[in-house]
Amino acid sequence: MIWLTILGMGLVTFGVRVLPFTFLREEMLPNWVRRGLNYVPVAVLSAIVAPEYLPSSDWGQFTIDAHLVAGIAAILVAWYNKNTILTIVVGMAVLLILG
Amino acid sequence: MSKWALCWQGYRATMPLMVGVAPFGLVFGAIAIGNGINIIEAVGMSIIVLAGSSQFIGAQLIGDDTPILIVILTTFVVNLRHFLYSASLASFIRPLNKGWKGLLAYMMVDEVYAIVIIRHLKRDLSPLELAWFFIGSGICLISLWWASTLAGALIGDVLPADTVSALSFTLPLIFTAIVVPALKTRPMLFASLSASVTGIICAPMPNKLGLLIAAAVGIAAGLWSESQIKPAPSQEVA
Repeated sequence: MIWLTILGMGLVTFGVRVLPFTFLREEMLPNWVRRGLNYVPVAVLSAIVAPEYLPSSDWGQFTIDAHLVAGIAAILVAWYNKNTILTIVVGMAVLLILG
Repeated sequence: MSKWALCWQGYRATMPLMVGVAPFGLVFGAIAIGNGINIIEAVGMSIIVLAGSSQFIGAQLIGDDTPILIVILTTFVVNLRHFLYSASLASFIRPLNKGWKGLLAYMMVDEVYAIVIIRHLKRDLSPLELAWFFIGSGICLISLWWASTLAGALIGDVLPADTVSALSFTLPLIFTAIVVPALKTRPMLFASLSASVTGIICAPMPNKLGLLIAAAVGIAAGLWSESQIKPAPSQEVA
């Protein structure tokens, strides 16, 4: 049964990832959708990252701690410097010092 | 650049993410064992499913004897964001054959997508060249995911919880280093801010639904901001 579950999980995951590759033709999409796809990387990655800096386990209850300060520091470094390693080092340093 | 050079470039670009991904794999392996999944099944899941957060949720659901269809449906919802990833690259990689598309789709996890899309935005690679870079990035991340799953299943959760938490914090930091420099235009900035705020507010929603909603809000905000800057295309034509 576990193998059947794993296979099913794999199938839907692969399906979600492969369908746009195989079936999506740009001319099928309205112009606004095409332009909207340009925002996918920034929108999805921002949505992944932000709750790591300001987590909330329940509606309207946020955990404000070293993660937020580290996140803001990392954002500032990335904004002015664009250096990946420096961004990680500063973010981790703030987390470890304050945490 | 030769295909192997591009492959290596993709591998190297992904190496910083290993610090954050390895502890996740370890914890997943250990959690799988804790939920009555054996070592071969745990590694099998990392090979067949290859999607971190849905594997965590899947392992817990399996441990709770959840009906198989619910587990599969939950996996589908959790991984729905990958549809957007694939859609955003679909027209570019359209010239590639089915085998390539299948391989790239299999490897399309968050971390690999982040590395690949940022390389793609330099707009200097052909579809096939980007595919080789993609493979390099995928091999780096996926081999580590499999190995760390195996290690976690064998030796258990050896790292203290706060060490895991600290190491995995490198992932959002790397994503920050990727996203922030891309916020050069007002619509991109708007998309990022709206997605961030919505993501934070909706975080308590189950099965990453908050993430999906936040992504949709971010995309909508970007489009809206774009329409404030320049006239709509229909007006341009007129």
